[in-house]
Amino acid sequence: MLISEPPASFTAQSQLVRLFLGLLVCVVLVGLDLSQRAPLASLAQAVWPVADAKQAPVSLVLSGQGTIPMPAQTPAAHASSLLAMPATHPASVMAFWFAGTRESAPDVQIATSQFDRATQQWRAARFVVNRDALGGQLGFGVRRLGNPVAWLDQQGKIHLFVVATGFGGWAASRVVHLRQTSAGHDFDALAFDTARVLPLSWLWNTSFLVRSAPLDLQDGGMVLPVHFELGLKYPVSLRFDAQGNFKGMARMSQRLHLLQPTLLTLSESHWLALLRDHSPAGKVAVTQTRNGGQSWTDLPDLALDNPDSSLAGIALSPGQMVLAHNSSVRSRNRLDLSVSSDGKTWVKDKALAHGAGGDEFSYPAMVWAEGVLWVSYTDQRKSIAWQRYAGVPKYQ
Amino acid sequence: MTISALIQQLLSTENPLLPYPVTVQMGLYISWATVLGAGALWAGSLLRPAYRVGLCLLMALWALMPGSASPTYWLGLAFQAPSLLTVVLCWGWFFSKPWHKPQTGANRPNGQTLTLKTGLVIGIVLGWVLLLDTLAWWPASVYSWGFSAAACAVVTGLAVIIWAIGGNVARHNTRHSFSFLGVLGVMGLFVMTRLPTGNVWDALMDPWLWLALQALVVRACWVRWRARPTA
Repeated sequence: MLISEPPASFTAQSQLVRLFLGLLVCVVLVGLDLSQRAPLASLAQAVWPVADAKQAPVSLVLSGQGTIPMPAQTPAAHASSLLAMPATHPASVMAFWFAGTRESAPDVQIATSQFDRATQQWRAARFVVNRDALGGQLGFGVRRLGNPVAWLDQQGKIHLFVVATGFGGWAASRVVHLRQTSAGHDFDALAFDTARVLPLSWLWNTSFLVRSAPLDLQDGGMVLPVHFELGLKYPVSLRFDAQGNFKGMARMSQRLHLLQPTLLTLSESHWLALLRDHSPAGKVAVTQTRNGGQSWTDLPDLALDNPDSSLAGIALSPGQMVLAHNSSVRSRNRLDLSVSSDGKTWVKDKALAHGAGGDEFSYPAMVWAEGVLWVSYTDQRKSIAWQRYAGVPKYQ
Repeated sequence: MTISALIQQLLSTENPLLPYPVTVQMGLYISWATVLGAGALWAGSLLRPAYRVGLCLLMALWALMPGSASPTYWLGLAFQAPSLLTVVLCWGWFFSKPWHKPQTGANRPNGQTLTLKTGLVIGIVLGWVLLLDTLAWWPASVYSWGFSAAACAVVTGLAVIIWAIGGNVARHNTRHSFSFLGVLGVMGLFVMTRLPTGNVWDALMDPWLWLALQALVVRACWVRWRARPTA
């Protein structure tokens, strides 16, 4: 059947009506969208772990060391994370790591222990996250767990960010955000609910991993460094508000061989990120932001050697930075502590662990809690070792 | 709110709205049930209509089962949730009652409308942009723009323009209006539920849909090449 063409005026009129109606719908949808959104957060500004400059340490003195107890019958441990607890908590520090028969084994779970103030001992470790329970909460399967990173919000709840893999190895990872079920202090009752899988990539949301500690912000939120690692590797910073709600992401480098950023504060909104470098350069890579993580620029590599291994850095107060790092190009058998005033020139201060041959002391974590620097690291992939350094203040 | 504050709020990628965890889980199961149901309907094209619909419903029910006995548990592990557009397309196809119309050459839809072709091209380009963004080919993160309200505005506005302009070309083709309503439905669902992730790109396009769009183009090119006049 032939259909006669409508007159030109009718066509134009119909087009205008469609456009008007369509734009009306568009305005309604966007208005509805905007009405649900929270007000914009202010520029991210970091807080210093040592708030009082008079308490800033001029030197660090070893005041304790040992090995954190492992859960029973778990021969492998890796990738610890430390969390400073408030003064009202029975523990001064908590540690989280992954443990099982071996890295990537199906029985790997997230373990935790805490250093009790009363006994001055680490509690017997217990598991707090396993893949079956996590899969049950998410509604879909999780193949492997790893790299827990802990953060304490202003309500005293612990947030745990863990790597959970889909089909494939670590490159098929996603970052899962868990929240402490209740804000109680009972270590034996510590449990977590799954908040969400963080939406970080379009490609089935795969290949983002978390490893390093977050940077606390003045608004009570934090910035969590993560990285992508499917073939190429690049770092990304994630911002969270005071309740631990995801507030956005920013790529931290244009280079495609950098991973596991650790954040250092130079000033409230001027930060450095030191990174593990997957290229043959064997150095520590650097990027910086001057606007609280909104945009990042690459800087020249540090002079420090590094064998493509994880780092942990912390800026205690202005001009006082500490870095735990493997310090040779090819081996993880030397783990050192270096100090810096500008984040670019580092001086070796202490040997954390030195071995030989195939020994491995790696994946350090650091936290400052009540005048003490706590360091933990993987010891031979079998356990988590810890050291404690008392800060000697300038005006003692 | 001042105009500049409104524009700032519109463009900001730093105040995303994410779906509630319970919504994510419900969305995961419903979306995979829809996709697998549609897949069963398509795969059972040789069956009698009643069996075909029955197979579709059985597959959808299986996908809705909780726990590791459900295919959703494993599909979610590998691919998370399909996009809202995939789900809406599946529902649209289901409501076209394909079991009443065996897809023979005689009654197969006669070519694509201009709107559908435009949508196909936009979808394929969007997928490539997002894939290359995942691989950090672009200087800025395109994926994170999908958390902004501006992304919703751009997508809806683009759909409106294509609908208004393409409307006269395809005025007598109801598929044109349905394709517009489909995109509008996706955006409406997204604004209300934030599924599947809170990012508008995930709502519009998933890697499987992107691959399917490219397969459609390849098939159309192949058919055209086979039908070319020979010397």
